[in-house]
Amino acid sequence: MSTLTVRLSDVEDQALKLACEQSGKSKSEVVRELLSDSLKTYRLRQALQQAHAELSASARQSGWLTEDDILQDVR
Amino acid sequence: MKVFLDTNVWLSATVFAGLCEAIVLESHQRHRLLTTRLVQQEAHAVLRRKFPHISHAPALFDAVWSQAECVADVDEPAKDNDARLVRAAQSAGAAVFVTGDRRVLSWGLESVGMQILSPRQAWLLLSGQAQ
Repeated sequence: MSTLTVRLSDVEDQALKLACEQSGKSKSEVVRELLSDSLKTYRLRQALQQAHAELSASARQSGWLTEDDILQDVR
Repeated sequence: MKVFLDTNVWLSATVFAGLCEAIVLESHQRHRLLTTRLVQQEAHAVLRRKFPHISHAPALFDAVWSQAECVADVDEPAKDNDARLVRAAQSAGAAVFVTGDRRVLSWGLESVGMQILSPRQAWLLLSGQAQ
């Protein structure tokens, strides 16, 4: 397991301490959980953005102008 | 809440930014997003047919789709993939099945234990805006 040092603002530090108190977990545990969830969402957003960038223009050229066209076309 | 998306919703989310994309993100972040291999197979077939010049279109889809939790497919009825997906969702305990297919939406009135909703209806429910 590696170590990462991160500078937090006073507001972020207070929010983290509050989360630790409420959950009974350590700062490391809370930050690891938050990071894990955030990275999953980040990967999904990145995948969506890349797909849109590579497919939407071709979709319009081939007759799918909006998402409604896909919803009606794909059964 | 367990949420299962029909193939047309996955494809809409993958190709265009908009409501279906928002449903995927909301389901992933705040609920449990379920899928099956049949969704992937159907999506790949459509993408290969629609985008023959983009050979990696299925890979782009997989990068999005693979973020969902894959549950078991249902084999019957063999000639009706829509019914198979609905049954797979029910078997996995999904509370919501989201589709743009009017035929499947019409089954919503008879569906027991699972709502079959349009993307708009699903968005209102999943985001907590439903009345």
